[in-house]
Amino acid sequence: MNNQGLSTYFNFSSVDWNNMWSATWETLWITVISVILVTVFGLLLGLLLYETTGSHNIVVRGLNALVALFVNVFRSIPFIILIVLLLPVTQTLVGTQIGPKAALPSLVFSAAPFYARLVELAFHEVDGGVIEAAESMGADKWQLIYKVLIPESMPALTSGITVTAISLIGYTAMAGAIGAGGLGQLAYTDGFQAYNNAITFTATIIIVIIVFIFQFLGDLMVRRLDKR
Amino acid sequence: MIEFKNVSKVYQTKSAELTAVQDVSLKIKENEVFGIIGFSGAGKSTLVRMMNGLEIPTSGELIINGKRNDKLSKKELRQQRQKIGMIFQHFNLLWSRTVLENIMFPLELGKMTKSERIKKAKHLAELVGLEDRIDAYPAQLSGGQKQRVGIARALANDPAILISDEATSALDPQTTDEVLTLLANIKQKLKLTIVIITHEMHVIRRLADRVAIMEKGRVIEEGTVAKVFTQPEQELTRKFVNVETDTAPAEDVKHVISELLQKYPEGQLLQLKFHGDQVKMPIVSEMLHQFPDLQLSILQGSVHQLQNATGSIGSLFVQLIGNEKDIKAALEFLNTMRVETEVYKHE
Repeated sequence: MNNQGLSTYFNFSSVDWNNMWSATWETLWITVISVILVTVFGLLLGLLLYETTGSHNIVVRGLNALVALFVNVFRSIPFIILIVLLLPVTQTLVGTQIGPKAALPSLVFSAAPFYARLVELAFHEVDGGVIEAAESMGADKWQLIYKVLIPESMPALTSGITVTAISLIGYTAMAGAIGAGGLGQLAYTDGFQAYNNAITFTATIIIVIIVFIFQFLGDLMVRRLDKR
Repeated sequence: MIEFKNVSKVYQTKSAELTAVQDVSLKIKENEVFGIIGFSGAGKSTLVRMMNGLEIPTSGELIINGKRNDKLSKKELRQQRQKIGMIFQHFNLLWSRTVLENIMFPLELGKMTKSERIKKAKHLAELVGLEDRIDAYPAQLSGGQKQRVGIARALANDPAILISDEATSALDPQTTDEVLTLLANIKQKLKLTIVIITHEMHVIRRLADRVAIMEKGRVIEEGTVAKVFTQPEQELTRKFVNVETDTAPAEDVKHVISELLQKYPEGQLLQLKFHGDQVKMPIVSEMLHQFPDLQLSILQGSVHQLQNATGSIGSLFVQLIGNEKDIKAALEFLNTMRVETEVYKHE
């Protein structure tokens, strides 16, 4: 097959659209599920980092150092290596090493620490005076978190998850290259390995559209949420 | 009653100890308005924040209604805080909440049902004159309106004590006046003790019954507002009072004084200070009647009404022109009328 020339990008008659749409669907749902999981774990980790920062208690400080270490380590590992590294963990957690489900643990382990840092930053940007006011009114720790900290940092939390979601889309594609399904796998096996540039090109365009949609929705939500 | 007994607060920094509050003893009576005045860094904020446990004294005792406030459990402290309202210089409203939701915030911390909360918050919005802005967000409000929300929020749990921490310092003079009027109304309508921190004497004059002056962590003077205004003992107190009553000649007046001194070298420049009922008496015209040869030129004058009706103070800069004997006799007359006089010499 002729793999030369720019015109091969536009040879759309060679694209199997059924495969394309099911791959798109796989990419979408793996992204959505991982965004949900990353939001939950990222918020918890970020809150833990925020609450344990600057404490005088030696145990709390130890905990902070431990969580910070965990976050920094997993943020440092290149994603493609992390997937391979976590294969046994994946096997234990989801019972398989291939398919979209198998990509989840590495996606979460990679993106949750990243989002945790953004969450910590967002919490630190909440006006200290407002926190003091809530304390002076008799709010307890838990009320402070869900009535002040989270609502007051909502725009930053939302733009943070938008950024994280977009890098997650990139990660799913990478995971696809080693058998996790989705547009990444399609572009790699049916596009690259089968010398079909039109498939690679179409998959790229769909991914770009998905990214744009996520960015648009994120921006829209931030604008709606921000009453400042 | 709130009682501070030899309270100190020392901050331990890496290099040194910083004493924010030093051996302060104060008694604040129930339902009075107590002012604490001082420059920034004088320790007044630290002192009042002990009342709702935002600061813990390093030594001494703080007793509120017979209970050691610095020895409360966490739960007791939270309950205590719900009974102490606080308003802040920068309002500290939640931008993510509407006016009504901000006022409801402290109510959500208690056990009220949602419909009760809304009813109460609407009533409070009315009290502070914001009933038609309840769905606005803080960003859509002016500074004065924001502080009104702050006041409504502070009053939500029917507090026994209201702390005002420089509540008008971020506002322009006119808005300050509105907020002070609102606080004065609240003082009349509701039974509560109000503690006001400020660096502006006019706030004290408008609202307070008694006042303490703080400098470098200590209370250097304390008394009724009328007494502190008319007979300030400490240098700093005098400074605060002077700023408020314009007793020091302003720059343009100094210019007038020097001109007058040149024109009438024989003239005598005086500052007269009137207290209380003297303000209402025709003392100066009586003096001119007694000494018809004297000529009088008024340079600057002001009268200030204190919070309670008896307390007003006036200040008058005049130049007396005439012979030395008459001037001396006139000064003696003023003295017998208990008007304070100060003779100015131009350098």
